[in-house]
Amino acid sequence: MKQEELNIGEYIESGVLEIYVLGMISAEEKAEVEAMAAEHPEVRKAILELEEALGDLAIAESVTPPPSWKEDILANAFAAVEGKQKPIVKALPTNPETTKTQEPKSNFGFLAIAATVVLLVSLGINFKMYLTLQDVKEDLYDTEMRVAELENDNQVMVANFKDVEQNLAVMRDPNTATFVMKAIEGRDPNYRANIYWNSTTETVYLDIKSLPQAPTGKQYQLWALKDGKPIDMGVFNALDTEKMLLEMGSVPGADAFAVTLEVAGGVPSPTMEEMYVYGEPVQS
Amino acid sequence: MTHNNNITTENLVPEFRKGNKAALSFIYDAYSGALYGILLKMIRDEELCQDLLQETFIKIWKNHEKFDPEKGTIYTWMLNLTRNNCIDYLRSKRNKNQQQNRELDSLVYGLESSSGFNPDHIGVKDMLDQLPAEQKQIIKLSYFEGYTQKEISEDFDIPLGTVKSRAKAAMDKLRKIMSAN
Repeated sequence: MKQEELNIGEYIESGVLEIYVLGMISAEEKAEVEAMAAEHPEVRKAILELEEALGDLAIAESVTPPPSWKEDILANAFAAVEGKQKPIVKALPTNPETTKTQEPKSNFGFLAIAATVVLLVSLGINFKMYLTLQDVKEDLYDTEMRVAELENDNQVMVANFKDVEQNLAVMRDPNTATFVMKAIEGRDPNYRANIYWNSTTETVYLDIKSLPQAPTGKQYQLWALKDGKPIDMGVFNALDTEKMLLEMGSVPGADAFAVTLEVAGGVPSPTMEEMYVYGEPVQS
Repeated sequence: MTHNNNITTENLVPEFRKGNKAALSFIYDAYSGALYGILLKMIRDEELCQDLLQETFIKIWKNHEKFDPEKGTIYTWMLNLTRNNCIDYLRSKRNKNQQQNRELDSLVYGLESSSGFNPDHIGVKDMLDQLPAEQKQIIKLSYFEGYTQKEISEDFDIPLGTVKSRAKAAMDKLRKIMSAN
């Protein structure tokens, strides 16, 4: 207890109360001072004495305002408080020369105009940004479409490349035999088609160099000839191998290949009169 | 509800807290000079001080129910209300005016003579002139301009502890001057 009293005395003398009454104290210290004042009457008393000195200073340096102010100042104070319940306009007729109570009104007008201008500018900016956003969205859509197109193109090219690679692999394979089928007598000598037959896979690939378009309802049919007997290798159209080799049927081995023009879908045995090209293996 | 129109120093506080308009009129007669005097010290502009005095009385009246006599006298309460309202104004102005004006102010304090800082208001006594210059500066910056201890320390390059010891010395001196008057 004695220790605490000593500390209170030190506290009062520390200068913190002066800092407090002069209004220069931090919020944290302010709360501390007020707690001390609430708890210790001597702290409270010291604060009151300091405040009294400052109050005396203000009284010693008083300046009496012009007497005409009193009526207006009091009337406006009453009106401001009553304005909470009643419209402030009611107080105006009693003080026609006083413009002060109108200030909030004109302030409001100015603020309203300022706010409106800000709002309009903001709306303008928003609209401009909206348009820009729409442009950006369109650009983005176009770009996305273009990317999709390119992806698609790329897939086709990759597929084509794989086909070409495969074709090349077939042709370069040492186990592949080449049959060059040439026009038979009586046909256009330019007619020509090649066969690549892989002995390992036994698969037959067709590469049409030149054949006329088949008439409507007709298709070309490929035959493998083994020991004088024709074996069906499937049907095709003149332009089927424009881009790549056409994989036909498979056969364990053949002496020659021939193409005939048949009804669409093919026939069980070739029509000899309709043979266009014929070829035996190229001797390497 | 009838109000007692005969206000005295004895019934002022209860009548004021009840919202008796006569109490505000009594307060005006008793204290408007002190409040106006302090406003003129804080802001050297009569027209602005009139506006601030008006604002202060509106606040005093609006807060009549909030005044707590346990925490101090009604006069001290009004004095602080006047100062705080004015400080709010000064702070917002100070924020606009940037650092250079503060530096100018501190220069002016250094050049002030003992004849008083406010030549525009002849007749405004300055009791603080009886204080040493560095103590007067602390009271003016804090009490009349709303600077915090930290701001004074930083803006005027005075250690925090020195600001505190000067504030204490200034208040000790002020109390002596006041009790002698």
